[in-house]
Amino acid sequence: MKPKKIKLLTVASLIVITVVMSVLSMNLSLRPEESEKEKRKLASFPRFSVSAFFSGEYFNEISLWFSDTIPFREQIIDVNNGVQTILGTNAPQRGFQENTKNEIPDTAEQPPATLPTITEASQQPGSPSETSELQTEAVIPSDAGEMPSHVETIDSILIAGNAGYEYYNFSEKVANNYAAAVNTVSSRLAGKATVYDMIVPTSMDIVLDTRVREKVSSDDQRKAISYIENLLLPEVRRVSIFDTLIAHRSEYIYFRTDHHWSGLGAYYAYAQYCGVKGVQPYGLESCAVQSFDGFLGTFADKDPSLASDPDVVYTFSPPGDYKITIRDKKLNVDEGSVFYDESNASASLKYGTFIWGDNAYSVIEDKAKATGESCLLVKESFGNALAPLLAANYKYLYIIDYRHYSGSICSLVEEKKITDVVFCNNISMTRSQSLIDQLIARM
Amino acid sequence: MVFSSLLFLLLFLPLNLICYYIPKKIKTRNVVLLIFSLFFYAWGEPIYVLILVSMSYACWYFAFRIESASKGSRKKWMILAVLVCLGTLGVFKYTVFFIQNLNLISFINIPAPQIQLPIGISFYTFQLLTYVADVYRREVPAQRKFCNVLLYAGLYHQCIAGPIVRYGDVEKEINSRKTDIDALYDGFVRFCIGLAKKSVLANSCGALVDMLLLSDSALNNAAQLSQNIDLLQGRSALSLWMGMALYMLQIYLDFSAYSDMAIGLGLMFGFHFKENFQYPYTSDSITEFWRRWHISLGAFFRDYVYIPLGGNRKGKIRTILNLFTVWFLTGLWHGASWNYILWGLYFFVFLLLEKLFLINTVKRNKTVHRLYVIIVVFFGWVFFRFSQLDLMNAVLKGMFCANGNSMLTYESVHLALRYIPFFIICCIACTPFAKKINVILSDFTRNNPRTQIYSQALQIAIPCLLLIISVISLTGDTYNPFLYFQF
Repeated sequence: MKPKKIKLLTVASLIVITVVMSVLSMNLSLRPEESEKEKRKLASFPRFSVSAFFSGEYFNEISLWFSDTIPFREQIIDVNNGVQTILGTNAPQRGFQENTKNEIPDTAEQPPATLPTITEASQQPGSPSETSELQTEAVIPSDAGEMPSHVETIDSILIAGNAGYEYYNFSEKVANNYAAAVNTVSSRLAGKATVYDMIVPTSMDIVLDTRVREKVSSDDQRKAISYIENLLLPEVRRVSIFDTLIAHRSEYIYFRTDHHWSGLGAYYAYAQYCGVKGVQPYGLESCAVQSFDGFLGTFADKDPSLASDPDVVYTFSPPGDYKITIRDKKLNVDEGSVFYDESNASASLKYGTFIWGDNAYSVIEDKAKATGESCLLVKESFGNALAPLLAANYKYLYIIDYRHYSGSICSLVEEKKITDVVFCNNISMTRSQSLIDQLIARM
Repeated sequence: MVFSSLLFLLLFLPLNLICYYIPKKIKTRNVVLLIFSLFFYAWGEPIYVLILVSMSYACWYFAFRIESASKGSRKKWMILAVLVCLGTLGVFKYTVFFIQNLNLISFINIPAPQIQLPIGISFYTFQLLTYVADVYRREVPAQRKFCNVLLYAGLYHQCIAGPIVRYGDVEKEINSRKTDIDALYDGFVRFCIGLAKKSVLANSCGALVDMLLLSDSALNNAAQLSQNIDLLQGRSALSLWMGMALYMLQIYLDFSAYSDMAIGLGLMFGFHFKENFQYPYTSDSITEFWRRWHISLGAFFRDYVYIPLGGNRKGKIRTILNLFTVWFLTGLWHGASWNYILWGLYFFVFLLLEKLFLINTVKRNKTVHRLYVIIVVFFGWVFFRFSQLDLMNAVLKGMFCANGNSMLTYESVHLALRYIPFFIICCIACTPFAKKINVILSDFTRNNPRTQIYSQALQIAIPCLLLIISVISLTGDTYNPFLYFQF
């Protein structure tokens, strides 16, 4: 072929490819609205406003909509992952976890008792909790036997064998702010309600093979939790579950393909809570068990090889007649069983069975009880697995997800005559200033 | 709008090509190109497009007056044009920086205004300045039509990220240009190469850099300074070296990719822009590096600042002073912050050393002087990356474990091993290796006619593959930075 012909063919091929892609991209009916992989609603076409038009925001949103909702998006992303793996260009999208310098102090130098703007608290912080004192630190038994064959870091996730583990790095300033936020709520509710604080470690420090764990530069979660608990006011009841979970580390207390704990992990935390509150927990054998298999959580998105061995979501429901009423962030109200039936849901959504996922405000009522105490659970998604268990010891369990709720914790406690307030957060939350800001905004 | 966006690739560019090639008359084609260019600019800057139009109008008018004025008033019009151009640039780009520095004086406390920098203002201001200056020097005639000056300054191919095209280089092509299959082929292929370089290599480098050395938004968040320092001080030395090496690759791949795309787009529409990068990381000296890096900017400062100041014709001291001025301004042009000035002056020191002493010494050994260039440029990028002195300090100290940080960690070693092949690909992309392979293959096929069919198939397939891979890479990729907002 003559060089001119080659050039003509090349240009023609490029034009054909571009035109085909253009025509497809303009077919609105092919544009997806949700991404199952990313578990989010995709960008929608923006509404016109004069201010958005002149600021350029309107055009930016159109660009975002155009690329975010491109037809065959999920399939193209799959191909992209494959291409990038071949080329070795699959760069992580966020969060490289490495810290060779952080030291977690035993106590803060000058810990704030409450948030700086609120000064009504007169108590001195730093008293160790009754549970911390009573408990002896459990020694994590060294693992023996075969080491996980496949170990790698993807984003802020460590993959070891067939499971993922989330890194944690301590931030003293943010940890102080978290403790101050809990202390402030406790101070405001003095004489009205008892505040409990439960910090859930990630699976990294609980179930990961100790020989792998010692190589990884993720901060010591036990020490970090202990640091935060030492900052809490004496009247805040600490529910220290770290050693409890260590004692059950060989059991199925964390998912392998997801960053959350399992229903069983939450059960042990519930039993620990009952011990601190001084009530009898329901035995595991008395709970009704349901299961949803084929669960693939957030780690499976990072490492598709985990998809070959999916998790099973087990739910434990203590005796009672529970009904949940939920109100989502758009104020839609719905009610039904505490566990949403996820049998036919997609693999990534099965953790959503617990209290129907992350809703702004929910109430679980035990209809079997004529009267009883009320409790408020202030949580992010880790609290979802705890809620159905916690509901067993109350007539009403109110649940707020402070990331979506728009009311005030203290007003709700007063309005509903709530006697116990339980903060249940995973440890990653205590290093995220933006989440703590959201919590503070709800006080 | 940016070139490496799906909206541009799948909607804007095809539409522009169709609308451009339907009419046959150059005047109509120019109108089409101008409308598309203004739309391209206004897409992200609906108000600031007025600045582009106003400055172009002012320069069109000044050039016109310069040409028709008597000898005495020519200079006045020229000074006025420079004042208007640099004044506008100064107001938008340097006011906040100026006030911040003024506020360092204890008794001054002027509230800093919120001024958003119009995208590409440094590029089109310099282009317009070259136009007026060239008319003043009688190197080119003044353009009669304002629309043509606006088209020259606002042509979307180079308006927001360069190269800085001189009016003289495109003067004739504005009114008379031809596009044949050779130019179209070269344009399409060059564009695809640039697009793949940006979307596949530079973006991946950028994601890794942000991960290792913090993202721009995190670095620019003053409230997060102590947290950022803690984070960088905690990084292992390997992570910091890796982060900076990847940043060095990212900034070249990204910037040269934009120039590739601009040159490619130009060719598609009949314009011939000069090269802006010539494999600068393979230079033998810093002097050569700057002849190969952002060539159009270097040439601007040489021809419109250094030489008018006297260049090297007025003695050693004056030469040093002229060089200092040029490199101070080069730094300042890259951003309104002291770290850019420091970066410019850092190169001034090495250029001066080379001029005065080192040039003959370093040229004796090719490996040594290439290594010298890489090391000098590498540390230069540390100044370029971090506008806060504390962060710069944390990184520089951390590279030598002086923060109490470790040399290696499990994670950094793992990351390094994982990205070695990618790192090598990026390094190769910074060299003329692919070009040389192409030449060798062409020679080979010429001597072996039987292999010609494979070579021709590759010639067609490679640009198509690059385009497809680029579009795939841009789908669902939330990481697609535009690095030139501060320019």
